[in-house]
Amino acid sequence: MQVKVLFFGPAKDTTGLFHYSYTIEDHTSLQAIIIKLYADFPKAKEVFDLCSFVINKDFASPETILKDQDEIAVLPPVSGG
Amino acid sequence: MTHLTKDPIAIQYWIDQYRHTEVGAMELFIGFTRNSPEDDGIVSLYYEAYEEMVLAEAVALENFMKQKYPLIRDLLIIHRIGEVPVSEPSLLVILTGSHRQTLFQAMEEYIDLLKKKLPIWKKGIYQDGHEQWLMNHF
Repeated sequence: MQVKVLFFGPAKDTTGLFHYSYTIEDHTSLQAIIIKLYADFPKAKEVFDLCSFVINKDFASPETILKDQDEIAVLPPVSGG
Repeated sequence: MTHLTKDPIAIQYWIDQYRHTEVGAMELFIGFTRNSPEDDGIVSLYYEAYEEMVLAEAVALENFMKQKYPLIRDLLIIHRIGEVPVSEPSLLVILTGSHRQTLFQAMEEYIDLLKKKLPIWKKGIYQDGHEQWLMNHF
């Protein structure tokens, strides 16, 4: 199974990426992906600490089990307007 | 209705779109990119959005507002994305109703909510060339 991670705002600038993909096993949780993100992008730790993580545009608990082709977005504190 | 646009906001066009025989009051809010002394030489703001989620969240916000303020007829948000130079509008909000009652209060709440809920981010671009992501202050 594959999931896609989208980065926005300061998370995009700090990782240097618009998006990133992970191949995951069955029963992988959002929390497992968050842990991978911290490991893969150590320079982004301070930004990730402030971020919300959503799945397919909905806020989700870290325990949520991911499905194939889920889209996870890393959302820093918003600042529109 | 909510639109994100890379083009300058055509304010008069949107006013005309919401003229209607049932509309007795229209309230507008226009937010501009500014460079006041505390802004340290901003030349433009760069806006980025998670567009699909902005539109989904905006529908939920509009439904909330219509339930709370049933006298409101129309709600419109136009938000620029990309670079918006100083003095250009970055945000247009229009509320209409048959009377002015509740529009002022509703506008304040609508703007506060959109600034808190819509996944949009802004970066300041400064005269000396540096760039910095900005936070909203409430």
